[in-house]
Amino acid sequence: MGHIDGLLYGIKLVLEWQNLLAALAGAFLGTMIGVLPGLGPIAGVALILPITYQLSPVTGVIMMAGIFYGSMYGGSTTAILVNMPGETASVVTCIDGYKLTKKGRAGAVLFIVAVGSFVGGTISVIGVMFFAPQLAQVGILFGPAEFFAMTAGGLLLLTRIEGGSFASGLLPMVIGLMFSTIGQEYVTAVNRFTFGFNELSQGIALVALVVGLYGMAEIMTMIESMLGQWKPQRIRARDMLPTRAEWRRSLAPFGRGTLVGFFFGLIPGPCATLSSFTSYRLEKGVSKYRDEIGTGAIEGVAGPETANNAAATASMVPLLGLGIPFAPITALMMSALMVHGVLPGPLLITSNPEIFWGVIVSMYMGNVMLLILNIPMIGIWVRLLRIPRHILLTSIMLIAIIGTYSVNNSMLDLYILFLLGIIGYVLRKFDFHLAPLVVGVVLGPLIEKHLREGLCMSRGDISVFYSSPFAIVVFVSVLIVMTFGPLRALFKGYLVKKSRK
Amino acid sequence: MKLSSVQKGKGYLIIGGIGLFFSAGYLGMSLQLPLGQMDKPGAAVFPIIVGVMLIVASLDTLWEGCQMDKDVQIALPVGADCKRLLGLIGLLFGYVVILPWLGQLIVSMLFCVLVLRLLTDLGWLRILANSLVISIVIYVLFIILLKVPMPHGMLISYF
Repeated sequence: MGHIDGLLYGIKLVLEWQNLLAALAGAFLGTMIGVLPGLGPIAGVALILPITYQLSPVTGVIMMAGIFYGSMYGGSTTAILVNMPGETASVVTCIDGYKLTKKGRAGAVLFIVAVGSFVGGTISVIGVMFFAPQLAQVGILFGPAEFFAMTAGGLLLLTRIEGGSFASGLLPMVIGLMFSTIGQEYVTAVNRFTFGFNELSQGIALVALVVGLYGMAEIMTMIESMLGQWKPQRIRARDMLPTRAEWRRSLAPFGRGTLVGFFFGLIPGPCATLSSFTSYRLEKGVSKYRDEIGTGAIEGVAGPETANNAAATASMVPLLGLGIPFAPITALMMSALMVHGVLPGPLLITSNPEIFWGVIVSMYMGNVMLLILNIPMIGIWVRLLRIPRHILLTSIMLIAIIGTYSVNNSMLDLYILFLLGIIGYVLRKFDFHLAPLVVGVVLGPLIEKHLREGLCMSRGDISVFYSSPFAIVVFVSVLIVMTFGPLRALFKGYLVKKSRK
Repeated sequence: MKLSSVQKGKGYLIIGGIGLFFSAGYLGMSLQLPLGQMDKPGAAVFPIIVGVMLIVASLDTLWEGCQMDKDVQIALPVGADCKRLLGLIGLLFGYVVILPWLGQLIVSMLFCVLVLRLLTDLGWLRILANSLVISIVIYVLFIILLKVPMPHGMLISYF
């Protein structure tokens, strides 16, 4: 199926009322999740996951994609209005966004952010449409060794790409892999580490894990430093329109943000967060008004917000093209597809074209919906932030518990949720990264599958994993990235010692 | 907000130590699984690799903890902040323990009352009113409309 045929097929699918409704509900719920501090997009998507099991695979994925990019937009609203990022990708938005709010430009900034998110998201979808099928064609030629290199190498890269110390990424990744081995093993059906609990045969429920690590741990952090109620200012309709100068100054950041975001979406890691930080740095380096950035400049908001939406969209390329999720949210999407019996991978485009093209077209639609929804609804989001914090947090906790229980109707999932909430709080406190843990849980079974397939097919010859040129390139790249930080630190230490002498 | 602090390095040493302890147990259990052969790897192969990786990651955490500058501190809550955090953890624990006995509606109401008491200075009457509204709205939305089969409570069913 060519691009034009695929697009027409996708349009036909998305225009079905249930899919349109799913895109609209996803965009709305995502924006709400993004606006409300305490849940964040990852835990938000995890809570919606059980609802998507009742829907068809296409409708479910359309809804989850809507939540993903909706939350990217919603997070910026809280950052701009109350100087508190709704999710980590909006941390840099606080710097200039809140200063512009203090100058009375909140409405105009939110308008620019909505347009920037639309531009970044829409252009990025075009990239996904062209890149994912090409990647899938290459992926068809891959064997277990190449897939093993990509999954294991990608996971290792993820541990370093967020920065921090070596252990801050490695330990959570290994814990994630360890969790992934719990349950019935898929080849010989041996139960591993279930300790007599039948419910554990299916493995640890991803929803309990993600909501515990991200949602409950975030709520514990917020409750620990419970400050007064936010008081977002009212926005009048006449303050909503940006000035001509603001439009002019936003155009170049829109373009740069889209490029940065798309690039970061393709690589393993927390793409939305990394892209918004990189875009901010880029604007500080190249913008004509770079001296104003940090004191309340529109470039400091337009660039990062465009970038994080572009990245969120582009992160679908590895999932749709190769079936490899490199971010926690795409990992959740993959698990939802697998529940429906759809295995994402290079054959997805040919075996399930309705999912591929449905998601692509829903992204176009979703971006339009976000634009239409968000500009007139800014007032509603502001009102949402006026709900007393104690009521909001209590309700979120109850919803998180119900959402987690509803997946398997299992009390064990609630015990896991509670336990992982505490583990997540402690790990975050000591600056350990949580993304490698979640992606480790999802990629663990894939890594094991490709490892065992590779060994079986090569009759136990381990050299199969490093004889393919592609695998060599991947492992060498991983080695360079993994050793660059420690080697640089050693070199710096050596220079310091030398200068002391 | 009142804060105390702890050396980040000490935290790494504790986490690394716990990791090492778990890795020994995990590796021990992995070795009891069928190992298979090189051309037909069994269920133990991947867990053994993960167990070894856990040992490496834990040793790295310990090493980083030893190397870390003593000035690098992590803020820990004390006083009212600590009480609030521990209170919340206790209430969440209580929720998941009592849920099968008393059912979603009653446990949620109790939870709301105690959480609101913990987080605010509101009077009991307002706390009760808020708790009733929150738990009933959530009950109607999720249990009645969305038909999420939450536990009704063994004690309630008994009576």
